[in-house]
Amino acid sequence: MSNLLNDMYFDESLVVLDLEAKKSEEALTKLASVLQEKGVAKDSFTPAILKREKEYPTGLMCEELAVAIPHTDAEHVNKQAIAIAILKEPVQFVQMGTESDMVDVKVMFMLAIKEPHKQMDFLQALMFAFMSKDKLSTLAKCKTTQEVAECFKGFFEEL
Amino acid sequence: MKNILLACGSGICTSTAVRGKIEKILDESGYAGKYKINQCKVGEAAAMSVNYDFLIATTMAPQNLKCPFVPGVCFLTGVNTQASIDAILDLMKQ
Repeated sequence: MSNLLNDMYFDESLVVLDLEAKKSEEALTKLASVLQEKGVAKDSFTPAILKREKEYPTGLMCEELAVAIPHTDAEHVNKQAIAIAILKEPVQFVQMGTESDMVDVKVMFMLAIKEPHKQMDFLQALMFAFMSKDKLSTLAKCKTTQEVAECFKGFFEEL
Repeated sequence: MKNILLACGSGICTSTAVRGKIEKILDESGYAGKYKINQCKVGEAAAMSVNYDFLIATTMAPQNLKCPFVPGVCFLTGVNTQASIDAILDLMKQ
């Protein structure tokens, strides 16, 4: 069911490898700027992402490694897309649903979503990948942006 | 009929992602057709909570909540889900 990704703009140009950042704000700003440069997100997207992360953090400690799924409201989005960053060194994010529990995030999935109800299957498939045995660690080990893109698309194929 | 409120920061993203999982748990436990789920922003949840049996959210429990709270982040990660599943099934029995 690779068609789960049909409504989402995604290719290797939205993948950042070895992203270097000391703090989550820096990591978020760098990945958000990729979406803005592509015209996928509006200028208001980055500040909205940062504000949102402070209010409702998106770090998620999964079975294998920690990820973050930063996102914000549809009004800051031109076109639905997902951008992925593999961090060179893990960066601390606050765990979702907590005030100050920190998790060392290795992979960021930044969601630019306009119609979330139509994306229910996509979102569920993404969460399913988070729960599965070695999908995330395989993704985190990819050496090129193309490999990351192919690996990520593979998340949605065997469902 | 149980009225379940499902919330996240925006009321649309992670709450949408966990909704299917929660529906599956309820349906497989024999509650198909015996519950209604509404999604909202967690900022609105406290004010709405008087009309609901419980709240599941991917955020912290909001202040001034008038119904029981069940943490929902585990349904995104698959880590430590049992406590929340037990809490939900317990609340369905009440």
